[in-house]
Amino acid sequence: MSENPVPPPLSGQVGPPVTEGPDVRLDEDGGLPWRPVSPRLAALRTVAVSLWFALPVVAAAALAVLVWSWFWVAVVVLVLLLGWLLWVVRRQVPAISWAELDEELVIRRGLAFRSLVSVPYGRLQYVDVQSGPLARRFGLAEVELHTASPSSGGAIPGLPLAEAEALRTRLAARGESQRAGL
Amino acid sequence: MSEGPDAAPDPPGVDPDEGWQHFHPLSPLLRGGVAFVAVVGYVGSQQLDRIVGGGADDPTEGHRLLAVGIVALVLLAIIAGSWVTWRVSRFRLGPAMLELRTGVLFRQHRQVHFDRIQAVDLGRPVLARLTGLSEVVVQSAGGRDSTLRLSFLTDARAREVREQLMALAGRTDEATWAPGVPSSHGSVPGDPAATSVTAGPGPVPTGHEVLRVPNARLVQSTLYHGSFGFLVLAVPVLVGGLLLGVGELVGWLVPMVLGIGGRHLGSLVRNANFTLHHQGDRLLVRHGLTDLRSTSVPLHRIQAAELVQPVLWRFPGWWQVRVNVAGAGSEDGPTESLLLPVGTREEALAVLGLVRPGIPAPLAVAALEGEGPDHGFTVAPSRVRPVDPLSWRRRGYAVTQDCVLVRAGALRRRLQVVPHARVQSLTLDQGPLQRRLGVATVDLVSTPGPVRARVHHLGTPDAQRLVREQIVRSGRARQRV
Repeated sequence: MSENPVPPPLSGQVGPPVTEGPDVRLDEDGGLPWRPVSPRLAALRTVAVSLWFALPVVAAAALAVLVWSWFWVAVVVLVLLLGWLLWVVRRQVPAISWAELDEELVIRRGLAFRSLVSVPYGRLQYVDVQSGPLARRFGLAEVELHTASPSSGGAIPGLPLAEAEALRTRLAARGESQRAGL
Repeated sequence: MSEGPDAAPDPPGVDPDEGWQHFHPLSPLLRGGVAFVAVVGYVGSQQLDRIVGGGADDPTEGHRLLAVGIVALVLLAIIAGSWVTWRVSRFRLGPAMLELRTGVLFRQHRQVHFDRIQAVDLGRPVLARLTGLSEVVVQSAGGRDSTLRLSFLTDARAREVREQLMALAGRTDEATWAPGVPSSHGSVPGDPAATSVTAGPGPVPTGHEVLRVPNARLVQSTLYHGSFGFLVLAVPVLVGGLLLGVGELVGWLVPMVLGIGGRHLGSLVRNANFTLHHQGDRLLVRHGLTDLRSTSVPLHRIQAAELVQPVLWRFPGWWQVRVNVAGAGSEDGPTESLLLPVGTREEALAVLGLVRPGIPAPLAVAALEGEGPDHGFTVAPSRVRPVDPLSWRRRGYAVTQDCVLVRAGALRRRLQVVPHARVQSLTLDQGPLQRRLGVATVDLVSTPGPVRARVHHLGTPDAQRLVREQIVRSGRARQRV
């Protein structure tokens, strides 16, 4: 299956061969302690997306009634789009999972576009816990990890507030004990 | 009212609610200063108009009480909002980090470890200066939103906090600062900002000269640049257009020609008289035609290196070397990251050898010019050929004792070198098409800079193996740093 089952020896120096290491995989669990995010995140996102669409749909419907009946096309398109987004949300949320390993936090997300990010605790610059008004109503918060690179952090959306806060504290402590120079 | 859910187990010995300090009560007004001044100013000017102008045209048309009431309400709302903001904004200097809590609706809790602090500055916007307040601006290493502002405190308190932070952030790691090279921030003793740019003649480079780029070659390399071909075509067209009087052609060609020509000219002026000196643990870069700039790049701050060969440079065999330097501000432009604007392969390899010694020569050559799995390269599988027809043979990575070599580009050849110890994080991405082909992309994330090391289109098992092994390699290497 693998293209290069045994890497051919380097002509130069090679570090000690690496056999261990967390078995990170894009689509299987590989024996890592993956944890899902709260299923309430799906509800939160459903509400958020619906709120976003409510005004345009109502406006288009009003225009259709009052001005020109062809605006019903816009209503139908908007509703279809909304339906598709809600379907995406329902599929996406269960695809987000994260694992707290010995030396790094791994976050996995996406179905069509899959991504996995591994952030070593020793590389954490700071950790943000964010919770907007709507998210707070659902009792959810997002934990965002920041490293010295703007592109590399990761975020775990949809953690229960207490869990998010606990994770932040744990990350701070682990970042402290494993911190490495830049 | 502003207590976050602090049920979390805190690190031992740290009371989660202890040591929080509020800012100066005027802070929210200063931060929202413009709005406040606008309201006060508007009302004031109205009153002044009435007194001076004798109330000839009263904009409130007699409903003066109502107008006063509305203004009072707005002011009250601002003050109430400010008070709430002030109540919930707090900071503390913990045992190991600076923490900041803000936000009423969108609550934020931010923390910066003391040893990640790059610089501590005092800021005094106009309004703050009038009221005798200051803000403490804390820069941490790289990253988005890497600035944390403690705004506002009284001048004395701000200075005190800054002293405290500087004492706490002081690191022995930075003892390598060259004497006589003033820090560009001028704040933290042993400012860890990676490079310092001095205008004027700058420090006279001691140490030995690694290379000197002849200006003739620099000019020539510009001629070999792809966009120069555009100029070659565009300028005669432009002249013809002018002669024939085709107005609209001139209208959109001139800005393009000026833009591209200006960029080439700018880089020529900037990179003229380019020399690179090696002195102990740092590289000294000097360049410039009109104003000579001198930049000192500590070797241990280099996070990643890249050797690039634009397609036309292949004939003379030239390469360019760029690096990511930790903490290099974007305000100083891209030049700090350029270690070699144009040089021969040997020069490029010599620079690479300074930045990252220990890469065996055959491997380096294979990485620059080779393709396929020779010399330990793990390459993209042939099934990606439909989506990556030209460079799939070159795509791949190799690993040495202390760094990863990422090879890419068939026309524009590229080689990125990232030390194991400098990998910030690892990402593994797979789009729908990649999924069907069974390949994935690995990103060895570095600090901000021109170098981005990504291995595209590795077979999924290979990509997963790279991430798995790199986690271990980087973990081991980090502990040695």
